[in-house]
Amino acid sequence: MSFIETLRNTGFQGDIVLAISNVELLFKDVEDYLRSKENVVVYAHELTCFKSDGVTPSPRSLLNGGFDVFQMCLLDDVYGIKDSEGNIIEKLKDERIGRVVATLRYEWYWIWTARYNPESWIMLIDARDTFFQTNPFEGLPRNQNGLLYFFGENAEATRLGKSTKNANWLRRSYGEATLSVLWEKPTICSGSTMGEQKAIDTYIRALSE
Amino acid sequence: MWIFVLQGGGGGAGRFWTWNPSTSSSTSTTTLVWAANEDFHPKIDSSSQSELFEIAHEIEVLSPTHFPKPTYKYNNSAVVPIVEPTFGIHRPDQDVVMVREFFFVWSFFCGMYVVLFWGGASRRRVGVESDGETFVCTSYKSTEPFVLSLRSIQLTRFHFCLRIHGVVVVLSLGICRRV
Repeated sequence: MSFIETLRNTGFQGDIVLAISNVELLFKDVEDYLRSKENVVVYAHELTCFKSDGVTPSPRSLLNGGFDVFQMCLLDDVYGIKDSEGNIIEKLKDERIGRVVATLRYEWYWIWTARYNPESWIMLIDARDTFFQTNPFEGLPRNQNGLLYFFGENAEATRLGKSTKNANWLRRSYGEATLSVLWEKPTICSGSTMGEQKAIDTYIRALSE
Repeated sequence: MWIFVLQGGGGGAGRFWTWNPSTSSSTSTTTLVWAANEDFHPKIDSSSQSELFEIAHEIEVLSPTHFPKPTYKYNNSAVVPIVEPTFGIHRPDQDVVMVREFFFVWSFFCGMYVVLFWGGASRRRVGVESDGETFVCTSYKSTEPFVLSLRSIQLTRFHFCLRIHGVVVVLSLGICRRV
């Protein structure tokens, strides 16, 4: 709520689009709160998730009061086929391998991005540790034909190699050799990105491939 | 240390609870007063000389068509997203902030609180600092477990004051001051 409240307090009047856990898992206050806010668009879609073996179906796992961020899930019934009048005639199961929610989010972003005009600016951000002091869209250059902003973290405080989390992600995905090359590079967190719609579309396709 | 749990209808937009130490003591009835929204001003550090944005000339955007749509695995161009909002309506001509899984569970508030309190930079960004003991209030029933759980934490030296509308408000018995 600090996320939404501080964002709105900056004067930002655009859309806020959220993917939330199943409504059933929310406290009622939360749903009421979200419904009470203007121009907040909420998607609550049940993910198909698995136990740690990656095979046995399982509801979203809770760990230490929050969701297990490493649980593998699929986006069933998110894609499908529509007839000429826009009616859904077939819902499709996810044909890709299971992904953690942090990875799945980019498909949500892609789906949402398609709902906006090419000139719109889009901010992708994690809500949990974010609050706003000023309107992030104020003074942005418009109609730049695909401007994309990445944000580097303070390289004096942390680096890809210095950050245990970043280092482990790179080590696990690409190996020690790649990590050593990137060790001194600044962290550019994918949890905060801005761009024009057409640029965000490209960026998300690349991440989702 | 006192902790107040306020339930129901406490959070008006743009307002926050403040503690008025002059009208109460640790044994007397507490007094909570409203502070106007104008009392709060974010601290913007404009002294930094670093460039906020630098163009990465070595990176060239190819084109949207270089990368396939996430539906490429279906190998069927008729496949499209079919999900619709549970509530709310997209406005295509607007700017938009997109947020992934936005859940409120106990750990959310705990995490937010820890990040804000123990992160000096975050505390400065909030723009308000305080001395004295800390009070936590909530007007939402769902946050009550979090607030009550703080009784088990050593709160005696919280130099922190934060306004979060309607949800968790961290107050100080001491004097709040701008930083």
